[in-house]
Amino acid sequence: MKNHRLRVMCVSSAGGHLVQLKLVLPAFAEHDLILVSTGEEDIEGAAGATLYQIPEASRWSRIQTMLCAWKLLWLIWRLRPSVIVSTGAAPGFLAVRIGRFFGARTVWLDSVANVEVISLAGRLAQPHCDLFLTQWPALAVEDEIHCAGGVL
Amino acid sequence: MIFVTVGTQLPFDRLVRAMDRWAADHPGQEVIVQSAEGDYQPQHMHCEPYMSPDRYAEVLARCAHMVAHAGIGSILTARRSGIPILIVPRLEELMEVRSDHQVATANALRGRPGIVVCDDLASFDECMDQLLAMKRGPATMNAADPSLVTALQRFVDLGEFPD
Repeated sequence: MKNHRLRVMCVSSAGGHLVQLKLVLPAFAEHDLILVSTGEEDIEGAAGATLYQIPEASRWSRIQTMLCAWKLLWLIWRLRPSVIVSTGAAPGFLAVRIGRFFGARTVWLDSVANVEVISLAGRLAQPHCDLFLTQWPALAVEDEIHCAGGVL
Repeated sequence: MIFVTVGTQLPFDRLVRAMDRWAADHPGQEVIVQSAEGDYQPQHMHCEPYMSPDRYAEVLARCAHMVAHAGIGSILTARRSGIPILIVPRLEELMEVRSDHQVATANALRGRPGIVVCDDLASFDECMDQLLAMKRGPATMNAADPSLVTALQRFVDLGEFPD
């Protein structure tokens, strides 16, 4: 698969999750990058990516979550990314879930804010991930949760 | 100038109130707060609920110190800009956030250069003294660990995780 351009879709909520996601974008520099987030934030560090905005989702708002899921379903169905990468939170879980259904490989990088336990969205996403990463070595579990470093 | 930010998702009146009280006691200090529309209206500092990216960059360029919730976005911003930061974790029991992950983040960062952790607002003034004793340093590039970038790259390119 080396030297083969893939479509990589990176999805996260706005704020700290997006800041972290942007810091690992250099990993996908050789591919076509799609960045999907919930806020109209500055896109510094996302040069070259195609940007899409989605509604915020959380377990506290069912309607918002449904709107977010619909938009993600539409984007993933239309763009058919080969890989989906997320740092969280709820929108990332939805993207991983939907992406897996459409045959994408899925990667979760749990937020560095989750020091003592994996995030709730991460735990929900884990069964649907091909690669699941924590940023804290203490949270790694052999063959299930890997740690390859962090952003802090 | 001291820049106070509570992030953009939820207000954090407990911190804004403590900072306002501190500002009242220190009239010589200019304080700008981005408050995310809390109920409490600060009397002794300039308050903006939200900031455009341009405005945010302008305030960052001008400030000497930051005071913030223990959010990763704020902490990474301070580090990138070389700005000493005091962090106050939001607490779940006070309904300031939906889990106590900020307490865990603050504990993990305690003792790092340029970071003061204030878990208890009773010691806020002492924490502010510690913060103000720190000097703004050079801006640095935030970057993920190269090992993390390599691992993600390998996974996307080759479908494997080296372990």
